[in-house]
Amino acid sequence: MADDARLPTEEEIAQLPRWARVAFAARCARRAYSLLSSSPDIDSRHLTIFLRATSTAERSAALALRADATAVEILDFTTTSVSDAVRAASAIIGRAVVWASSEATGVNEKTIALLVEDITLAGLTTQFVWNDYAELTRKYRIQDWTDETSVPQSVFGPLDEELSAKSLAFELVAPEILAPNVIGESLVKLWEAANEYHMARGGGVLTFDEFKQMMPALVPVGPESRG
Amino acid sequence: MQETPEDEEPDLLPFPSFEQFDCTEAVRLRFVPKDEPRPGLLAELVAAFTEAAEPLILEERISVPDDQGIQLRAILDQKAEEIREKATKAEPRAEEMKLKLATGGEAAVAEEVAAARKKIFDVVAELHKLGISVSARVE
Repeated sequence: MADDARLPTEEEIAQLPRWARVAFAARCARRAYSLLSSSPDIDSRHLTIFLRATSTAERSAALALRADATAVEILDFTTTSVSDAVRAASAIIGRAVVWASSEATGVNEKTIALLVEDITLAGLTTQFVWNDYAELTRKYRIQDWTDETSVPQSVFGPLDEELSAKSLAFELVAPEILAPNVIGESLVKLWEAANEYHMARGGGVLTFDEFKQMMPALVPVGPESRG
Repeated sequence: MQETPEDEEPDLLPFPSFEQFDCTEAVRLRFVPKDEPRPGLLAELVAAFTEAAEPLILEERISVPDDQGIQLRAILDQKAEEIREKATKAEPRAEEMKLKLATGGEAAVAEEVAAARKKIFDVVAELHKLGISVSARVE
């Protein structure tokens, strides 16, 4: 497939249905995350915002639902305080959220193409981007997707770093009013469900590795807190 | 005031505010497979949970110091021990499934996979009813 190692053109991206475009941009954002996280000039708060926006775009595409425009305001905050490479990667997901929140079903392919080019220049592997595009194209043709068809990230398969993953991490967020033993019981049920699936696919028993009790580490972010 | 068709708000995907996460108890836990037959199986498992829960948003969090949340920690320690015991008891079942896969292929275990997948959806739905959100990822 090395011969296919190029970026999809505007025309090619334009052929994708609406939510497939958003899903494609979100997938690129997931890939760009590794670039962001290794960038010296991005702090954990920016990374969190980027992940939130990426999740919003993924969820929009997966549910075929418009996103709340609040996401766009938060992304404005992100893109005004970081370097060019980080800004380019942030912008691609920012655009995806804008599109997800827009009524428009046309346009945008030119911007997607430019942004994919930007983050590729910033270090994203062209072959990976092409593989994602090719997989999306194959599926939408076979399954006759329309602009209304929802597109979950699972259509792409695991990311490369996920293929070599060694552990499975869960995060449970519960209201404080819940008794601790309810959270404890939930943990066991979660393991039982995960373990059954893992074994059914030929995997070994999942063993408990560690748990951490967590708390939010973020300060509120919004228009009022921008410098 | 009577609502006109223009006033009707279409379904929107809410973008959660940071405040929505402030009054919560959060637990992060990690499982490791004793062995994994193919690369990407853990990611597949994450995809199954994510599909059940819809893509959830992971917040940046830090560990709570040991002098806080002592009661929850004690209960989780107890549950971790319970899981270790259950894992030991599940070993024969895992071996049985591996044998089934080796002799009959994927088709032979399709029903078990479907049942396990349903269980994931049931568990996630049950937790959601309690107000507990679950997100999964590989590390």
